[in-house]
Amino acid sequence: MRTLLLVLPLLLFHFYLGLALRALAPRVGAGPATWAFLPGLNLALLFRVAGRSPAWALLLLAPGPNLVAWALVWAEIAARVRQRAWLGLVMALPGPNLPALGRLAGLPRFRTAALTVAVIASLPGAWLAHASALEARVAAAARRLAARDAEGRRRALVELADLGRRALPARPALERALAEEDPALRGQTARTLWCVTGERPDAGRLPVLLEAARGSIGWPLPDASLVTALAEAGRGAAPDLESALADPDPGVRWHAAGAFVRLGRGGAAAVPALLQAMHDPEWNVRNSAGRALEEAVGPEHATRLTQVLAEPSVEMRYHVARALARLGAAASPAVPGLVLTLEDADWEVRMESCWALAAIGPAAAAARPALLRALGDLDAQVRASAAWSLAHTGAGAGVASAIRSLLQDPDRDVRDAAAAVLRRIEAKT
Amino acid sequence: MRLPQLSRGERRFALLFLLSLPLLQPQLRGEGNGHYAWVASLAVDGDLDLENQYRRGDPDFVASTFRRADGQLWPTMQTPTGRARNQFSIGPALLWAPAFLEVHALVTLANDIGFTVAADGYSSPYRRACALTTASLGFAALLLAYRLALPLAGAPAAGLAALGVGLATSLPVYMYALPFYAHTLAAFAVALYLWFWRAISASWTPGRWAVWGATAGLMVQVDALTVSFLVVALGEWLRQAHRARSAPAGLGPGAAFALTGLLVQLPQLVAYAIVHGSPFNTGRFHRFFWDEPHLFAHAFGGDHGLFLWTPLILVALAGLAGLALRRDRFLGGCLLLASAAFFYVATCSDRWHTAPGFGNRFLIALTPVWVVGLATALGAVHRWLAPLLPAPRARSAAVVAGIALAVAWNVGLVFQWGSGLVSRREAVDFPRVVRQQFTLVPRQLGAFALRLLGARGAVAGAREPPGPPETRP
Repeated sequence: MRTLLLVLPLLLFHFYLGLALRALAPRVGAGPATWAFLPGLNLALLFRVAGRSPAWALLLLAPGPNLVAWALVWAEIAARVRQRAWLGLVMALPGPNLPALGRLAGLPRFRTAALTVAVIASLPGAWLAHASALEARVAAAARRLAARDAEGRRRALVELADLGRRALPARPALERALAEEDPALRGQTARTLWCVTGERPDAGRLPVLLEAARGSIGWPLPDASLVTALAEAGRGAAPDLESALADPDPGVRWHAAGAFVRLGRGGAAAVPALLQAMHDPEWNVRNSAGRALEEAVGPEHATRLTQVLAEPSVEMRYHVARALARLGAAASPAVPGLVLTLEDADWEVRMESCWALAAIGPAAAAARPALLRALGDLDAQVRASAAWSLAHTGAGAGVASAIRSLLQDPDRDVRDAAAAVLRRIEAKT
Repeated sequence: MRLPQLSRGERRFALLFLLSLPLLQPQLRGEGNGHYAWVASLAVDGDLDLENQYRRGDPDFVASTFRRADGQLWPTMQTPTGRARNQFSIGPALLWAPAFLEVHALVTLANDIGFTVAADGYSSPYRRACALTTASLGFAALLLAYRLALPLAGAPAAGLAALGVGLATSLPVYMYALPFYAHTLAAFAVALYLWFWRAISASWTPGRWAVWGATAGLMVQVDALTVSFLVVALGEWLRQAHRARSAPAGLGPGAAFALTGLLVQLPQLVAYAIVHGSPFNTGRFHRFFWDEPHLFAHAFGGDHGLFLWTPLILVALAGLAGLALRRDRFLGGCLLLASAAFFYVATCSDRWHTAPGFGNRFLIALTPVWVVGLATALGAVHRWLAPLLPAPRARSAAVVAGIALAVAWNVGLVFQWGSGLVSRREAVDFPRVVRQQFTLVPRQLGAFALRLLGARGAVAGAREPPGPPETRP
């Protein structure tokens, strides 16, 4: 019944088109008129009515070009039956094409109106059938959550998560499925529940959600929905999330660190654990922990960050320099360390050190000689950053000549930065 | 308004196009992800929140759009409205929209009936339909360009020029291997604009100016660099005003042109306003340095230099110059001026090197201009050869051989690019490329052709650069 309701508008239109073609064919001497109701052949007849080769009907199989062909062939038919060409173009517009078809074919007005009304009246039924098909799909997926086959249950979870809010009727089944024995599927269930309801998971849901991350370390990206769900659940259970940074599974550690990125300053208490996680053997975990550190730090961490700035790990120095930049003037104890990292072997560390000193501002005045040396760095981005940093640290006319030399730099960004910094210095003096 | 009456040559051309369709590779790559996200988001979600669309993009695009730390958008990819930035134009999406909507209706119906096809806008039927639209419009661009050249050079020269440009430039790569880039569609939009101009040049009315304005609006919406072609409209308007000896008489047509051109721009402006917070915020990362054009490098550099990758265009340019000097000063002058302006703007972009990608992809939009220029040049060459080769057939054979050589050169380059023999991202050592054309390519081409037909995605190797840098403190 549902299928019938879904295809009824198409069937009615097919019938209507058939009537129209049967009426048109004898008027222009095209045939055979019996093709009018036969799918496929009716399209060949359509082109014959237009005085064209039936081979043109192949064009109607190509989505996109078929719309243009449909409009133009009806414009030609309109010309052949001495109607206005624009009436043919109307045939490409769903809705207005219904009365236009009857008029082009010269069907009696009553019949045209009746067929138009019939097609339009069948649309709400098709819409209801469409809605009912979605409900049936959600119900079927919800039923599969109780199936014995684990792969079937997993697929049902993926399908429901993809449907998002439209799968809300499956909520009771999903809540029941939280009692799932398989920990990974239990985790997936919790994640799906989050995708479907959008309700913040409570702290108690955190261990279950973490199960969904197990074995994920090979993925190209962390599961963004899961990371958000973990962050939401972790708001009330930061210590639990912190302990997940030491989980034996690298996927769990990765997603937990990712959740701390989302928590921002809410994860401030986890800074020591994040610093520890930056020694993780997995790059993904170190990277997420580093980004999380940048988001979580506050003035209270300035001393600790200054200490680790001298660590042998390039990644550590990079993220710590970026974290210090977030602290602004509060990072002033780190100025001596940042002066050293201005000569780091890694260009990104040198660049981030420039920006950290820029963020510290006039309190980093002691770094100006080192920043002046950085104007001659081999890397263009470091040179540009050093120029900006000098401006931010309050350097005056004394450094103008050094910066002016960058106006001849081969790199466009460096020249632009130098020009802007010079304008700034001149405005100040 | 009617279906085109195809001549015998055009029917053969259409058949060749149909036979080439198995080469179509409907994979999303690079910039195509951005263009396609507009239509997928509008038609499937109706929300212009592009983040979920971006997650369905090709792996390289996803890796450069979302950060691995938490799977969220890079901060620079977020707009003030909280949506995902899209710096790519909406015009291609508008051209794909009819095909996309038809397929979406069919896929939705199929799912309702009980089949399982993902109705997410990214499953195979959607991509195939849109890729087919690109290829069809690429073919239409060549057909329109052929008709543009027909009165200037005659059917044989115009046909050979269309075929030559269709096979010996970067166009076929973007028609078949990278159909979601905007370049093929830009070539179609420019061809439509120019064809309409010539088709109605005998009888201008304000209504026709308005329709022409709509084609101009579409053209600019597909590829903003084609704005240079508005000099053609300006030239036409000035010519008519000069003929009428009255500038005010031209105000109506000019206003009609501008009004419809702007009206057609509305989807882009509205989309920018919703996604980027302002109708005039294009969301572009790339910049233009107007005082620093890379003119020579853009033409002859190892970084996708136009004439190194596509030497046939030198012949087309000579033909255009000949057209401007001898045959039709106004047409030739307008086309040369518009192309020069386009070239200049492209060289001022910080992406002037057009990497990554095949050949000088920006200039694919000039396809119809190349066809007109090449057709004129081929006609002239045919005449010049008369003292050397008195038999017309021998002259034609010589001209065809020249085009075949250019096609063979291009096929060799496609092979080198597709198989990784030349860098897709960096400048290439062109003497080495030339050596490889004569050494490696003949040996390995057969196996490559088999791979092309067998394993899809083999040549669609363009890659986006790594993720955008994070915001500086």
